[in-house]
Amino acid sequence: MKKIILMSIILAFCCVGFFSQEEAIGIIVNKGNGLSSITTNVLRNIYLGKQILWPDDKTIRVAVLKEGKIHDKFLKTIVKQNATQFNLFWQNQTFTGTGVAPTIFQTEDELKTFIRDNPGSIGYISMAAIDDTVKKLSVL
Amino acid sequence: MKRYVVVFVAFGLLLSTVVYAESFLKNIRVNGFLSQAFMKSSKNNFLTRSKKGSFEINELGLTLSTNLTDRLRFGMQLFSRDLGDLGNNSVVLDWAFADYRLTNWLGIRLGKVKAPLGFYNEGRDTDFLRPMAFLPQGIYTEAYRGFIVAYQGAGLYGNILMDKLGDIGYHAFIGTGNISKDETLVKHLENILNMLEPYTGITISNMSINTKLAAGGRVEWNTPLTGLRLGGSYLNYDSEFLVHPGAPNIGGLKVPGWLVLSMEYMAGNFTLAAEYSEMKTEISAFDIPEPLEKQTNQTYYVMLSYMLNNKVTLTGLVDIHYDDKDDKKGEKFVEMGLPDYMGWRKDMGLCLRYQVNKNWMLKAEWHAIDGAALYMHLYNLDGFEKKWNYFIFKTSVSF
Repeated sequence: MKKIILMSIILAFCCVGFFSQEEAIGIIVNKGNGLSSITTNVLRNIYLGKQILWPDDKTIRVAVLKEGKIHDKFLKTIVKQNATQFNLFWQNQTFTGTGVAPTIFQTEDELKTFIRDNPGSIGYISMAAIDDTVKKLSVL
Repeated sequence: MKRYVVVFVAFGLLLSTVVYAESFLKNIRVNGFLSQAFMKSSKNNFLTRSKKGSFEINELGLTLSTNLTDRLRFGMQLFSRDLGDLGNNSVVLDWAFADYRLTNWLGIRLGKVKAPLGFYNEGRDTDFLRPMAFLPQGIYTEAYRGFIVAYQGAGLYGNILMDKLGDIGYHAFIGTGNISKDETLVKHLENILNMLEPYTGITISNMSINTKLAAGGRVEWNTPLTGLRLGGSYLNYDSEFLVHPGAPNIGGLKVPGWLVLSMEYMAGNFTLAAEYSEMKTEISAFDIPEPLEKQTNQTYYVMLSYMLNNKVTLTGLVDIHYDDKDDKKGEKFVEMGLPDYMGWRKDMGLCLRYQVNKNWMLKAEWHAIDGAALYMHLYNLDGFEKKWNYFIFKTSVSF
């Protein structure tokens, strides 16, 4: 009986680890970006259009996923908004001319390709999807 | 030699135009929106002939924007609306400006730009951006939309990032305005001037307003408490009335100070918004040395929204407006033989918003109102009552 309980705990632990690995988010930038880390405050400012330049004065190009768990989790934990609020925010910027909405991508691969090809770009994808075509920033 | 220089400069200009034209077309973004409403009111007409039920409420917008360079972009919006006698679906340039961003904390806008007043004036024409079918009317009244919706001139803006202290956003401007002759405010001013006809012998009709100066700005602090922002806006405005070219001075409208204090707090599925406004106005007429009308109106409102889920949002509003903050009982109207309730407007509203999908939205809204301030007499020439209500159903799409 003890073994069964122990096995169940181990199995549950593995499952939690698997899912959290799958849903863990990585912040990615172009490989030419000189930064190695970024704070959540800066990330939030970037995704709300308040910070539009990198420290080296290059223009930031912001990428977002269209929808999905990664998108929702990123908005909730970093931007502190849900998808509806975030869409409304950028509709406001668009229809008043006060900002340029982030570029939207259907898939993580498309977003990653955009980051690879565009200096100054930033985006987020699942940790599992990150490869050496882009640079991962650690979040402080 | 001179000819070569001219040819060289012309070639350079042509080349840069081609380069910019290519960049312009490559980066162009097109967005738009369309909304249609039905409104039915009891006892009083509101904005439209709403007592009988009116479909004369729609809005269409087409927005184009493009990045010419990393720092320089251009955008414009064509806008058309019908709101009773206002607009009648003529197409106007709502805004069009060039925007150059030097740093995070400094950018320049030149052209026709949505004016920063309160937290919501810039987004007032797009139904998607409003929690309710109309913004709180005490501050964002449709009666004088024309003179606060946009400025034509230059603006400075930016965000001062302060890390853990949040950030401060600002937008300051100077320029002029563009007021259409069919604005309710213009009709109201014409009425006031025509009250002097027995003394002046002049009947005013088809009057227009020439803005001499529109200047102001907004500062907002996005506080360290996530979702809480606080702001203050100020507007100064000066204009003259025009009847026809070459006519003598018949007066003008001044707003020597309009202050709006704003607060918005987004926490989870709740959004709480509250604003307080005091707007000074001075109306001068002919050669009369003292202002014909000099007063300060006062408004405050609280609006609470709760997002039940991703599709359904419920919003409640309490909006109080006084025509003259020093005469909250409307005694000056009584002295003129008019009802005292022209001195205030107390609005309680409830709105159910349903987001069918990302691009399609429905709103059903009900308001109970006490008072007839904000020019209700102009929508109700055959008389109006103190307590009234209206219902509005609205649908909007955007792309």
